[in-house]
Amino acid sequence: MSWAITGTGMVTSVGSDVARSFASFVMGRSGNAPLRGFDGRLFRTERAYEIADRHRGRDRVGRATAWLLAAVEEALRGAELPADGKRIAVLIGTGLRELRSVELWWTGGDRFRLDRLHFAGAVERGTGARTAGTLPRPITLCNACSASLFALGLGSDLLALGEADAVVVGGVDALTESMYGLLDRVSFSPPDAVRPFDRQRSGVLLGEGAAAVVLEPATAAHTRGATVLATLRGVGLNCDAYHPTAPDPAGMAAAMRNAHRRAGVDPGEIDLLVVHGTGTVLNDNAEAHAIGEVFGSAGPDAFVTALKSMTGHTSGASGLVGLVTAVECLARGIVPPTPGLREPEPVAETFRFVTDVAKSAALQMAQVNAFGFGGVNAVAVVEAA
Amino acid sequence: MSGTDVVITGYGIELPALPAAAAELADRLGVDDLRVRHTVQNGAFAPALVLGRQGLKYKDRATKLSLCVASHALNDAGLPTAAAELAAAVDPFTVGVVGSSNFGNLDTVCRVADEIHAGGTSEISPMDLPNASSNVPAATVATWFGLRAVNLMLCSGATSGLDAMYMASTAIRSGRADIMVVVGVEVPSGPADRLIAEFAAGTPDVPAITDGAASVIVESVVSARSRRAPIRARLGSYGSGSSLTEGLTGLDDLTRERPTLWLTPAVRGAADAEAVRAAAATFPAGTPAVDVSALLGEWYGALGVAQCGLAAATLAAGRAGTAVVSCGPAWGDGSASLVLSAELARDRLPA
Repeated sequence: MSWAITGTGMVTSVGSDVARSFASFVMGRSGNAPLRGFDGRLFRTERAYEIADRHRGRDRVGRATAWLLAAVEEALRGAELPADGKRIAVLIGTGLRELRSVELWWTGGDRFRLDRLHFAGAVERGTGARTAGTLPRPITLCNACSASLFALGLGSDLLALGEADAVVVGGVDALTESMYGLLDRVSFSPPDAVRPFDRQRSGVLLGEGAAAVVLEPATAAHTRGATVLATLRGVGLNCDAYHPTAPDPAGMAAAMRNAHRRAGVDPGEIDLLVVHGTGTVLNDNAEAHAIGEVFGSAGPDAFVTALKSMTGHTSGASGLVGLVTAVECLARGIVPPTPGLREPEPVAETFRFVTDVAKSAALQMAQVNAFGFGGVNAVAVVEAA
Repeated sequence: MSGTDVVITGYGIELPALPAAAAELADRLGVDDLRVRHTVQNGAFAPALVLGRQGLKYKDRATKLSLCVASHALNDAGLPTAAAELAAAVDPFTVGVVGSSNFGNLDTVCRVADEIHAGGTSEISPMDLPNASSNVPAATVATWFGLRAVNLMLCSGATSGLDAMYMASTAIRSGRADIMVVVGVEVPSGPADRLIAEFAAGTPDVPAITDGAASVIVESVVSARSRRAPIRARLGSYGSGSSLTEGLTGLDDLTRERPTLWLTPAVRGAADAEAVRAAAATFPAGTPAVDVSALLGEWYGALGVAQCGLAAATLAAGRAGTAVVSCGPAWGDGSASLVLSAELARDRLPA
């Protein structure tokens, strides 16, 4: 079974939609900037990859919801789903929900209401999507940094079971003071940039973003004459059951194998690997080991790129940001670079990283990785249309 | 719901602060020996009594409640609770987790933000990092018991508990797991209490948030039979909508089966009472209706999980019937309902 991706949407620190974000990625443009949303005197870390949408720098409630709606609307616009009583499921993956709004309400007295903490109401109001019936109302799935790829996997399950005719999958995260602060607290020396897989990498910086896709059974999309952007072949999901925050290469490798099995592909068929690559010593080393285990010690034939070098770590949105980007790469035959990657980490020495400038290449199959706190691993395989 | 039959083989409820809850629920549901526990020592929640002393330091209350209640439920389903023994009994790659909570880590997030404002990040504890991630209950249940299949955390408002049951069933029917441990947990805290109070401002009473957790073991019927597990109920259809009646219309089983029990949404005030009265008209006259929240308080994202455990226990005790459980509309969210039936419980194997 495979699923047609008929619409995509994306908002990042370097672009307000898919086309603008992807154009920035191809140019190697980074959203890295001095911290804008919080009082810089409270943190050692000085930089982040924020979306510049605050009026006079003042933070406000509901930013994550606004980007999510923008991404979902872009995806729905592209998909042109017929409005004839289809059963449409909506799954939103997020690491930090609207917790930034909760912080502003709790510490600063901004107005906030309980039902704004999750995204069901906003998505229903914003899109006019009627999801009532035999499907849940829009689900808010809080699966840390792999949330939106988990949502994608569950969405494909609902289609495979015939419970939904189409699925809208979204992902979103905004910086929270608590998470930014805790990462600052545990950082030995706060980084000035995210340098995925680089020998000199010194850690993660948070970013902001949202992404969305519309997914339909391939046959249904074909029948209604929809433009298919790419085909989702399969999503592997598992849990390390190992450590609260540290990754486990064995769990990551198992998720990749699970994805390949579900997609019915061999590792050798993957042409593009969009890695999780957070720029922490631990993640990138564990991910490199896992890739080596699955693709063989010589490393994958695939080109490898790490978007967090330009977007920062967009937490729960990052998996779907990777997937929407992979769809563009497959359609256009371009791999964005990983700026800041000079000398790869020893375990990844043989990987074919695209570093300084974008690479043109014929691409058929891409793999997207996302791993989160708690050892929640999600890996998607997507094929050119 | 289509495909593989999915059944409930165990459940547990942990209510440290409500010592009388078990008896009250047993009385209302007419079932003795409900798996409702109060793990307390000297008046305080004491998870070490169930889980041992090792490994609980730095875990937040929602996580400790989740671990404790998952242990109750695994035990009730006839599964070992020690990770090594559990791995010997069932393949860890076939057991997953779905958590449901809205308030679980609000306290950590707000406290850390306060501490940062007071003195910068040197004032905060690095041990709060895992607890700042909203999925810590589901992930910790997986780590504690060694459950390596799909792991999900839903923070989906008032219907989150029933949505978690639905996603657990989906995971099993999609072949992502044979067994899913569903855990719903809510804990009161300064920010959680204030969010509820502000939402309810102007209404006669502001409910207290229930401090506790509920867990249900959901399993494919093939898995349950192969390990000779007690089958307590089968999961039937799911429905949602902006109103209670609209959510109930999604339940196609109801056209075939006369329900023997309805666990209603929380009834607070005249509008809720009227909605429940109107919805009750769609059931055969005399269908017993029980408002679990009237006994236990506002359990929000955990309510649906608790209701499913209680409904399954009631069906198993009676060895027949069909139960409907409903959550919402409440707190700005819509409504969801789920059907459980005893049809497979009839052929359950002797202990």
